[in-house]
Amino acid sequence: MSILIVDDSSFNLAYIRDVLINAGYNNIKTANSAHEAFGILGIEDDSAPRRPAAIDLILLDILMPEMDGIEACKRIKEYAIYSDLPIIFLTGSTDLLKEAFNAGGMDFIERGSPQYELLARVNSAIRLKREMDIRKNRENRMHKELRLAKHLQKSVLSSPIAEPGIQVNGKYIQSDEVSGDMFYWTRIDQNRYGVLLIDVSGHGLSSALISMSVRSMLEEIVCRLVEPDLVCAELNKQILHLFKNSKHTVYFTAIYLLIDNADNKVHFFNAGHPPAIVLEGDDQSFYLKGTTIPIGVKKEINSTKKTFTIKKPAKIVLYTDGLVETPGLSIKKGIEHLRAYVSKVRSLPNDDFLLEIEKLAQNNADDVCIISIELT
Amino acid sequence: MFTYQLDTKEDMVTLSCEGDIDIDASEVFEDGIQPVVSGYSTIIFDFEQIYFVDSSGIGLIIKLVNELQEAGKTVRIERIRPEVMEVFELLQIDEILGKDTFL
Repeated sequence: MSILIVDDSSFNLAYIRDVLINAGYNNIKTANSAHEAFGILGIEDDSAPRRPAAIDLILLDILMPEMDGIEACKRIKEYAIYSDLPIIFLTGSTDLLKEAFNAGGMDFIERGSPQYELLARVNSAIRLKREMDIRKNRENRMHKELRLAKHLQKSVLSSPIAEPGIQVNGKYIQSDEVSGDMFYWTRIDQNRYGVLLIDVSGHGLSSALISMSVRSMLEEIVCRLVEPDLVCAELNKQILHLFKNSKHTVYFTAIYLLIDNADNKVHFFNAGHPPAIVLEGDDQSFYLKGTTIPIGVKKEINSTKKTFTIKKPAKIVLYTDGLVETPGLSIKKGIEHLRAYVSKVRSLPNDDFLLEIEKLAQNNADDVCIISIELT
Repeated sequence: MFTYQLDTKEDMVTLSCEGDIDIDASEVFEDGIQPVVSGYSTIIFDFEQIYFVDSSGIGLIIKLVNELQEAGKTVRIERIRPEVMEVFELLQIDEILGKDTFL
């Protein structure tokens, strides 16, 4: 670990240096003034260096000509890269201690103190710095990992569909963390499309793990089974099986639409998810009613599919509860508010329509997924 | 923050619950409640002071009630606030835990 001693007295510099070297610290730098110290730290011309100098502790004399130690300390602490760099003041008297601590000093050593006191204070400052460095590195690494995980999660989402008669757009608004919201859609055959939205219970890493493992099954399940009742039952079976050894309840809510663009039928299941909102023509709007229990809770799940005939032009909006839920407030009111809101902007092209809904999710701490399907 | 107070009467115990049921309530739900209610055959959860239950909280409730029911106990959740009830209804908790739980 590297220590910088700043003192205008060459005698003091040499003395402290010798004490530290004798105690086993062999990387000691010295400076006779604040300006010389700034040079070593790379901040002599007020520009912030990209990387901090390799210094782990500064021992800083308070009384120096030109710039004193307190002013120097303030300057150093102005740089974010040095905010965690410990500074111990060297002082002949305790008169200026209040100012010294206010300037950002972490400790002080009185001149004439016994060597063991000097070493003890240096030791504890160095130990603290080392632990802080380890923690910071770990945080940085986790931050990078998280960014990568968020990217991966986003990368498996389906791309928009824009074909004659049908447009499907989705938006995943991520919070600071990864989460369990996810959507998937696919064209099944000439006229049929499957669209699925899921929301894994809980938040953060564990939900994301579950969501990604579900994602890996979807293509196979949706393309093979197609029908909502079969997809629902199979997902339920697979999740119960996959997490049978977990001591926590693993479940997710889901809504799946099978849209037949030829006969204008929409078949669906809704497993504990907030209801889809359907907008028909210029002024009609209603919810897709009928739900069953969430996926993964119970072996027996009533997966009967529901069917309705849609009158084009129409839009169908699917969303996760983050868009309509505020702790302590009624979620029903949140859903009603959303319905009134989307109804007003229904005439927008599908992607703009989605952007407009996205505005509702601003300032939201939770993750939000929104899908809009336009049928013309 | 989730807390509860116990009130016992013969073979019935009432837990007056207070606060939010989310991931922070895990320890209490997973380790705290079962031992203290094990000696009673009827367990009442009074939810009058529960203002918010999120999806993790629903998971905790399902697991605990399921385990108590499997142990042969009668479980009821009472005086649920309307905004919490809405979330329960959306997820069809009565379907999962049995309608008797909410009578």
